[in-house]
Amino acid sequence: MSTLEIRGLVKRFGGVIATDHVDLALEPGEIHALIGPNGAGKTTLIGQIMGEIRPDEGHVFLDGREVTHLKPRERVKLGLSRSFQIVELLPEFTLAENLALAIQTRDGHSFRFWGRASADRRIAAEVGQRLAEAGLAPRANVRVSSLSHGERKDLELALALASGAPVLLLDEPMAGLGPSESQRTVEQLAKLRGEKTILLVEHDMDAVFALADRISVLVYGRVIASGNAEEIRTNPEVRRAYLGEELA
Amino acid sequence: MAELSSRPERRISPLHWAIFAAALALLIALPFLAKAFGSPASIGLATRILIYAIAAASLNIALGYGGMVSFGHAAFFGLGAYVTGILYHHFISGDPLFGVITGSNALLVTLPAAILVTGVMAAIIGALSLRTSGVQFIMITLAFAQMLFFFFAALKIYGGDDGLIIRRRNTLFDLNLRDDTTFYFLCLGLTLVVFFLKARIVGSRFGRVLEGIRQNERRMAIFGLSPYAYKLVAFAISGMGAGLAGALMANYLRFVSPDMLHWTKSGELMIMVILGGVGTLFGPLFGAGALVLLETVLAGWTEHWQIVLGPILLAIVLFRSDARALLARAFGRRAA
Repeated sequence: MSTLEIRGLVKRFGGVIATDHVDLALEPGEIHALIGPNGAGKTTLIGQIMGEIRPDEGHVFLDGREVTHLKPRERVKLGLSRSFQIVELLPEFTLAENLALAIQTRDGHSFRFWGRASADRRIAAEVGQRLAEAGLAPRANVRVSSLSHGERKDLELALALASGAPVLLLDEPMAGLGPSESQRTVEQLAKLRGEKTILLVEHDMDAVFALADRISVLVYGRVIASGNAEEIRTNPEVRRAYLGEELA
Repeated sequence: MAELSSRPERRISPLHWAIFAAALALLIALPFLAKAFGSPASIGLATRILIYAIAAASLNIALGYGGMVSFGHAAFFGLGAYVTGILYHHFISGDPLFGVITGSNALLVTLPAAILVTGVMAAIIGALSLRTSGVQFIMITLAFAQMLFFFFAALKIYGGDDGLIIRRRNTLFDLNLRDDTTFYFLCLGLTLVVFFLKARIVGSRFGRVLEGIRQNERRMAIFGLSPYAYKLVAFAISGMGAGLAGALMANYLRFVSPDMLHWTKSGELMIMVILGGVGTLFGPLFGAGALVLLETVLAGWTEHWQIVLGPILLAIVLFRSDARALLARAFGRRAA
């Protein structure tokens, strides 16, 4: 049984078809890359899998259970989380506070009005550990609004990982990062292989070929090819639509 | 260096504790100082400041921490006052309210009743209003408050426009609440309780989530929770605090009138929060003090005292980031 499966997903915005009968299945523990030119509908697809955008047709299954009509927060409870291409953080909180909230919300509801949230040692310890893994420890007490773009992207990814969700939808985690920053993110994601099931949207082809077990190519809302790195690299249609001849 | 300068003030610093301790000492000594300096009227002034501080602190939970720009908190303030007034009315007349609820003049009954009724009303108004945000939320909370205002203004059995007179303050054990100093200390004690509860709530897991929602609802949804539910609970808590303040004010003035529900009262509470600091723990206490004192001093010069208040508010909005952020939330997200 696939960990995440979508069948016949269709989304139209007026006359534009953003998702055109897309089928996709992620096997347990695999990193599945989704590539395609700008405007191919990659972010729209992630939005539909997460439940933020309602598809016009089709079905989404998580561990064999249909979740097509569940709200995002209900899918989170079933073990799904995402990161955003354009970061969605808590700008007035520090890095550590952002992570603490991600960990706190994993424990279920937060209708607890008495104990000091900041006094929870278990959360503080995990925040420290995750900040160290993300290479953000020296910046723990800096407000997000004062962070650089690269640091924000790293935090965005760290929040998705801190959710504890076994299935992650990562929307361009390396967008706008420098080469060394990208390299560190690649190493971080490589460690998750086999542990998490990941749908990775990314433009950095070096990262995609280094990480992905399988790759699907989305063009104008349609999956035009699906396969391993070698199959995608040599697929003539993919090269024409996206990769360009220089990679031949 | 950046690590230090950009650390937000989350914990209460020693300086803040020192200011708080000094303010508390002053508040405790105040009735004795007032008598020593031959100005007993200032006890009443201080009582009003404390009561408004409770209301403004409660509003700040919704407004400052939750980012809900309520322009209708006078509804809860006034409703708390009317609960007290109506219970007293039935206590005197002897005939029960709706044929079942007997009146009361016991503070241990009227205060919880006021808090309960305003909490339920805030939950109802919140449940409907929180489906909107931004300017729509401001207008809809204003509209609900005005509906209650006109309801009580038209309610002839409880005095309508003229309001309700409470001949004697409520009773509490053997305390003589008719004595202004005793009543002042009651209000001071309750103010401390309210600020303590607020500090606990703000620092709790619930408080963290509430501040997260203010900053980014989309992120909080991906954290797997429902922003609406948390905002609604915060709004109800906020309304309950305002109701408590209203009940105290009814006792202090020994009078309840629709004016306490008027939209200008909602505005005053909001001004207190802005003067004292949006989303701060003790700010509303200083904001309430500033506004009440400003009004008292300036009204002695001219009845158009708000001419002075206006530029002060304008300066705060121009130069303080918390007030600017509030405006940005209220009118879209451009200026943040």
